[in-house]
Amino acid sequence: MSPESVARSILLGVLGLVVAVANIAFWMFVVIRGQQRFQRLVERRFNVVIEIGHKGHWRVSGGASWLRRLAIEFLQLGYFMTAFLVWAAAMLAVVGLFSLAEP
Amino acid sequence: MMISSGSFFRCSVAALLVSSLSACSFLFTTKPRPRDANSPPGPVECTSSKALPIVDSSVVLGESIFLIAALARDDDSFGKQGVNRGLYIGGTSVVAAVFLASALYGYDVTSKCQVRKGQAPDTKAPSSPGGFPAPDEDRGRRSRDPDPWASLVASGAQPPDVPKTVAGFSFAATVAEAEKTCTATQRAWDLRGRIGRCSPKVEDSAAETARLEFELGKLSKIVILHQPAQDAFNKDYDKLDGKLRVRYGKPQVPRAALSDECAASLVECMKRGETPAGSKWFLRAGRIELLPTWRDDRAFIEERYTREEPPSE
Repeated sequence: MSPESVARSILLGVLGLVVAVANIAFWMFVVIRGQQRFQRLVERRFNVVIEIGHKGHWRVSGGASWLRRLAIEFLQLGYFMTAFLVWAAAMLAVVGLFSLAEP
Repeated sequence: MMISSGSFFRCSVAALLVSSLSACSFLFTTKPRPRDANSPPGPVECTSSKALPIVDSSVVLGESIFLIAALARDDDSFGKQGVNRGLYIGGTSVVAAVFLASALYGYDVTSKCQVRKGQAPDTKAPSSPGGFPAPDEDRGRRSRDPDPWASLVASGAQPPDVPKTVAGFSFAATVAEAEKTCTATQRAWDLRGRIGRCSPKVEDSAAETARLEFELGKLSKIVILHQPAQDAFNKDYDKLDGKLRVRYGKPQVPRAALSDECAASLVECMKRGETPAGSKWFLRAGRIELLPTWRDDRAFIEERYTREEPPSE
């Protein structure tokens, strides 16, 4: 193995570790802090109370109409869809970066 | 730089997906509410930040680029991808139009809001009809604002905390739990939006009304509404202030000195539109405020308990 390929392998390992940590940090932010901020924003915007129900599902109360409940349902879905798309784009960039460093 | 047909379509579909999730300004900007001529002055609750219409504008820009690129291509290049050119152009145009309308709406709402805020920067929100007040204005502290908790940190003393339970209601209780507490004390429960109201069933009852605000699905603010008789209003206000001073010490923000008219009768003075500022105690995990208010042609003494984390910097 040439010294250059050893260096590339080490670089790949370090990059992999960084990506793994960043991945955990990203999803922790999305699920905990980010969702909380988004929940607060939706609560204030639509003047409703949102409780976290079964498996993270939003339970809406406060006299919201069915249309508003549906909109809020889609907003929660949209939030996670957007996070997923951002994550997917970042993963594509990471894969590209990895292919450059491949020994 | 040449972009291949495949990546063009992938990018387009991704952009369509992202952008069709929401039209930001339509959903998240708040119009300034029309003010009743007789209503007391109050802070304007509306969205003044241009961030959302800017997001909408950027989506319009992105969609326009895809639209122009699609118009420049012929049917064959679309056919190879199995995409109907007309449908694609139509879809992109609709999304662009929705976001354009959303952006225009957003710019209109935010500029009207900025004008309103500029005209009345220090006013209070009008209460909604039927004695159901709007949420109290809790403007986020800006970095240049003085830190109200700074004196606590500087003193090094362990300050008292906001009580875990006020008038039987526990902070962090859910809507159902708060309702149960209210009905257990033979009071009537009503929830509208984020505000719950627990009021005595009989108007003259000695039981006090509690206004409860929920945030993140939990009880975050408890307001006890005292409604003393007009002749006992000033005395009761002093008594409540004294009681809180004994329990929580000197307030970080002491109440405003009363003018001669207000010192004679707070009710009469508030009826004329004057609203003397109350005392504020900033505690470890929240704050307490005591202030006289005028809502729906009635004078109240509001005892507000809010749980919130001190700002971390």
